[in-house]
Amino acid sequence: MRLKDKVAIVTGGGTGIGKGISRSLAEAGARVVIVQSTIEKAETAAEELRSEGHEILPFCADISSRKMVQKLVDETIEKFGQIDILVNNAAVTGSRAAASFLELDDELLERTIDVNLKGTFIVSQEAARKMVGRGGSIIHISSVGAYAAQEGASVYCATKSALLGLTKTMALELASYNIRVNAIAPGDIQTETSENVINEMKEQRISGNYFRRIPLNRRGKPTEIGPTAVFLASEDSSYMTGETIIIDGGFLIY
Amino acid sequence: MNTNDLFRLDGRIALVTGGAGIYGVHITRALAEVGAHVVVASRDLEQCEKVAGEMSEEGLKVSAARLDLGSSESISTVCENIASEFGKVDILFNNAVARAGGDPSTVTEEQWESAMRINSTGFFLATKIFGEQMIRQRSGVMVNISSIYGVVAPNFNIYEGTDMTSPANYAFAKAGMINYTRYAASYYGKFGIRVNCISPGGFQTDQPDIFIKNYSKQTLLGRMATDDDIKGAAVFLASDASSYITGQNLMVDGGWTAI
Repeated sequence: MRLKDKVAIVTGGGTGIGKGISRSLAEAGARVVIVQSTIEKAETAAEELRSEGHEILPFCADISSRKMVQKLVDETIEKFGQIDILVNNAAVTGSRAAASFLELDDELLERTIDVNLKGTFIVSQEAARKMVGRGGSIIHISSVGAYAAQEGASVYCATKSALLGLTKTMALELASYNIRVNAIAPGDIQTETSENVINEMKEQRISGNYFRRIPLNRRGKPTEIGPTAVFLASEDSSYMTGETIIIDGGFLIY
Repeated sequence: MNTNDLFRLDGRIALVTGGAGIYGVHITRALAEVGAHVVVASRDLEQCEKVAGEMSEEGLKVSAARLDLGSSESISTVCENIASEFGKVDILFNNAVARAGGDPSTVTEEQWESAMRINSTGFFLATKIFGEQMIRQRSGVMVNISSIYGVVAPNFNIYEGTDMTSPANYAFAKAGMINYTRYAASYYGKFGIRVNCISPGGFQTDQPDIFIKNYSKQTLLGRMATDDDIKGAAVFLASDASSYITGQNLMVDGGWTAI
């Protein structure tokens, strides 16, 4: 197994794409810490994955809080002894992140930046400090929204673009510690969150580019992101760092 | 399906053009190690048979075919032979490349045209002919091997103190390959065929030490690519592990293009 004896932290690892990533990493042999901002979601996912025979630690944290993240990292080490893999998947996304540019208020602006960018930054810093001396792999979950405009998602797109810059800079600064840093940019993946967005957009009669036909002519499944996380977390991608893999069925190539 | 099984290629039939070359053998081995039957093909049938023989002795499923990318007849024959022997072609790796000519100071018109015949026309014809077979199957995966020099310009300073250079045609052909990957992904997508590209960084062989040192300094990981570095990406893009990925160009470059 590709990730035998490895320990992974997946923020937002209890729902949607994040849960798919947690499951894939666990199936590949990793012990996984699932981080959610509400403990119920973390525990429900942990229960489900444990019943499949995986070793999972559920953890409740607001990732924009340095203190909580330090506790997350310390407890991970206490429980599993090390951190090899970090997947920064948690984000304010979907309808929670939606607001037109002209009407967006400070609260949403700050909340989105706090979780998507500052939170990713803090978890990366704290986890990377524990990876120094043993190496590791860090994966940011960006979005096709980093490359293409999405209506009502200005802050979201801005934070997802920011992660691409962070990916490259972290790759540069952490290379000498044998820590590789890459990103995944998913396109339209069928999750509960994206279903809600679509329903709301349809109600508001917003269709736009988001619903255009794409080369593979289907939406992605939440299970289709995890294997790429396994690829980037493992020695399979030994010569890759600072790179972003787009998983979008060809959405962006037109 | 279990994540580990998504990276398997049991029962799949793959063609790797140039699959017996110094770079291609690692792709061939990678695919065969996860269960695929790999046909290695080039104009040098003897070399292909040698590689196929050696890998078969290890228990891998590898066979050889003669393929001239300068001839559409030759490409069609290889495609037909594989389809009639195995009933299908699941995976095409466009890996072969003609490195005819040098930089603009030395490359001749004839060298440029002969390189284009293989790198452009041959690549297109292989994609078209195998694409037709994959359309009939309503499934298939194509992976094109481009290069960092299809994305960025070579830094000629790294060749100082050696007689090496980066061929002019290589930049032209490899860049074209990347956008043709997108074209093909768009065109073949509705038939359930995925098309992706890998842009590897320099592969360490027997280059002069000074070059290896100069090159390595340009990467984040501080080294050239070695035997195993391409294998993971080849299996990833050929397998169902990348089922929703199409039209992409994976940089396997040690961070060369990240800075």
